[in-house]
Amino acid sequence: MTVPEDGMKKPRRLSEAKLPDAPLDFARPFSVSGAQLQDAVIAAEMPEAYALPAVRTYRLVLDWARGQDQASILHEAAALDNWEEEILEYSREIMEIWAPLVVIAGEVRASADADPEQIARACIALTEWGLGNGATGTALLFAEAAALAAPSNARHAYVAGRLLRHHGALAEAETWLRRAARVAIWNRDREVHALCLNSIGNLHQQAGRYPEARAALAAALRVARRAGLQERQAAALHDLMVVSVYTGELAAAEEFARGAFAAYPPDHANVPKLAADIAFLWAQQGQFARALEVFRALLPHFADPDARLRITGYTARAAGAIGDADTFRAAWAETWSILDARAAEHLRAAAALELGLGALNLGAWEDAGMALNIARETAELSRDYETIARAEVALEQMAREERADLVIWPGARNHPSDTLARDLVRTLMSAGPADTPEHDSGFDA
Amino acid sequence: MGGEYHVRVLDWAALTAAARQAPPSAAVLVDGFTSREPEPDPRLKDLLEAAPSLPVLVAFDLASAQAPGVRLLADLGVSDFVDLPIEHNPSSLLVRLQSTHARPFKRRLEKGFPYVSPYALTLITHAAGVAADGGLSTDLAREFEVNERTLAGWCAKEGLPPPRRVLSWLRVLLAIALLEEPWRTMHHTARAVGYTDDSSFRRAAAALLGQRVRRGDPTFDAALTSFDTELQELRASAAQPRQTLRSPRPM
Repeated sequence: MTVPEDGMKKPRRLSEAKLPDAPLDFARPFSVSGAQLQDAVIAAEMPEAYALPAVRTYRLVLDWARGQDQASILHEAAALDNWEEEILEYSREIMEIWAPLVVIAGEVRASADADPEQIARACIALTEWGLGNGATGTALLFAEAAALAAPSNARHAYVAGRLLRHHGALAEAETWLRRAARVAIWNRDREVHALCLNSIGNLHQQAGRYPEARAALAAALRVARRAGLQERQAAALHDLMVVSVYTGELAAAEEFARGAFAAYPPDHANVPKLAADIAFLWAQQGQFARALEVFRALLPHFADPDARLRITGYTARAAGAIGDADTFRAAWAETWSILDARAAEHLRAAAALELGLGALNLGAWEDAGMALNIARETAELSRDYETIARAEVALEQMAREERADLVIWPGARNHPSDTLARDLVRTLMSAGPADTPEHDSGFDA
Repeated sequence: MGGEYHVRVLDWAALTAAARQAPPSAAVLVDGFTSREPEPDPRLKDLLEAAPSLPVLVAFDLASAQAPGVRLLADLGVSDFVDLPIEHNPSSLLVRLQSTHARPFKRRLEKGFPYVSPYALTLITHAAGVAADGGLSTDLAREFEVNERTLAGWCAKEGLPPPRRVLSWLRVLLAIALLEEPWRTMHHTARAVGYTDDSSFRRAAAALLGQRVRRGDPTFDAALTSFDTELQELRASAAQPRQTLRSPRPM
C-alpha cells in the first residue's frame, strides 16, 4: 500500500471514481446552496473597485466546477483570454484580493487542464480576506466555491460547512458537512470524517436537536477511537459533555468531562476551555468550592475580555456562595474594571447578575441591590427577558434576606470530582498563559 | 428538468403579457440595462410584478455595469443574470436556465420549512422542479439516475411520504402559489401544473388538505404548514435513533 506525502492512506476501494456514487449528496445542479441571487452579496461587500471582478470570478469558478462535473466546457476560450488580460491590468491596491482573482482567471482559462486545488486555494484566500475585513457573506460564498472547485478534497467541504455553521446558516452547513463526511469516507480520511461528524453533532446541539447531536457525536467518537485519533476523541467527549449538560444528565456530563480531560494532551489549547466548562457544570450543581478552585486557576489563561468577564463573574458568585469574602472582592473589582472599560458591553447584564448573586450569597445586601438593579436595567434595554426574570427573582430574595444559591459541600475526601478538580488545577498552573486560542469544542464551539 | 427550451423573442409589452400566463416551467431572459443608466430598465420592475412565479434572468455586460446596479437586481427579485460576453453561448445559457428552473417556487419552499434534513430538502426541491414541468415520480427518479424503488426507499428513510404523494403535495402547493396571481384562472393553473382540469385539481387538493380549495383559501403558507404537519407526523412515527452511548473508556 502506498502512502502519499500528506499521510493519508490510499483508499481501499475498487472504484477509480473521484467521488462516491451518492446522488443525494451530489445532486445536480451540483452548486452552492440557497435560492437567492448570491452574487449581490459579493457586490455589496467588496470594495467598489473589486466588487464586479469578484462577482465575475465567483461565477467563473462555479461554472468551471459545473463544467468539470458535466465533463463539458462552458465558456469560449477567447472570452476567458480577454478576461485574464483585463484582470491583470486591474488595480493592485489590495493584493490579497487582486492576486487570487488573477490566479483564478489564469486557471479557468486553462479549462480542462486547470488545477482544482489552485482554484480552491485562491478561493480560500478570498475567504480569509472576507473574514478579516467584515465581508462575511463573500467569505462564505468563496468557501463554498472552493469546495465545489475541488469536490474530492473533503477538507474544503468541511471548512465551508464549519464556517456556515459558525455564521448561523445551519441548513447549508449540514449539507456541506454531510457531503464532506461522505467524501472523507471515500478517501479514507478518518480525521476529516471525525471532524465532520463532530461538527454535525455541534450543529444539532446548536439547533436544540439533542438526540441527533448525541448520535452524531457518538459516531465521531467511534471513528476517532478506531483511527486512534486522541485529539478528536477528546473533542467529541468534550462536546458530549455539553449535550449532557443541556439535557440535564449531569452525572454523564461529568463522566464525559473526565474522559475529555484524560484524552486532551496537557498543553492542548482546549484544556482551559474544558476546565471552564467543567467548572460551570459544577457551579450549576451547587458544587461551588470545586468550581472556585478551577476558576481561580483559569483566569491567566484567557486574555479575551468576554471570557475573562465570564470567569470573574462566576468566580464572584462561587466565592460568595462559600463565604470567601476576599476572593469575592477581588473578582468584583476585576469584573467592574472590565465593564467600566466597555470591553464586553453585550455581557454587562449577565456579568452584573452573577456579581449580584455572589453578593446575595455573601449577604452583602447593598452591593447585591446595586448589581442586580444594573443587571435588570441593562437587560431591559436589550430585551433579554431571561436575565430580567432572574434579576427580579434575586431582588425578591434580597428583600427577604435569602441567599441565592444552595451550596453542596464536598463530601468524602478523594471523591472522583475532587481528584478531577485537583488535576485540572495542576494542569492549568503548570501550563503557560494562553492567548485566546480558537476553541472548536465546548459550550460555544 | 428544463433540458429543452422553446424560445420566443418578444418586446417588453408582449413579454409582460405573456409572462402573466406562462407555465411555471418557463423562464424570462431580458436585456435589463437598455440605456446607459447604471440602474436597470424601469420596465423590469413591472415584469417582475407580472411574473412573480417565473425565474427572471437579466443579461448585461458585468464589466460595464456598476455594483449598485447588481445589488438592485437582487433587491428587485431577479433570479440570476447572464454575464455578457463571457456567458453568451448556448452551454452557459442552458446552465443558467437549468439552475434557475422553478426557482421562485423552490425559494418559497426552502423559506417555509422549519426543519427538514438536507437530503429531504434536496428531494423536495427536485420534486418541485419536476412538479413545475408536470412530471411524474419516474421523472424524479430519473433526475437522480435511480429507479423508483430506490427513490421510494430514500423518501421513507428521510421521513417523507412516497414519491407520488410528495409530487401530489408539490403540484397542489404550486397551483396554490400560482393562484395568488389574480390574473390566472383556476382552469389554466390546474392544466399548467399537470391536472386534466380544475375539478381534478380541486379533488387532489381536498384529499391532501382536508378542505375545499378556493382562490386564496388556503393560503400558500397555510397549505405548506399542512404539508409540514404531515412530515412531522411521519418523523414522529419513525424509529428513534438506535445508537446508544457507552460511557467513555478510561484512557
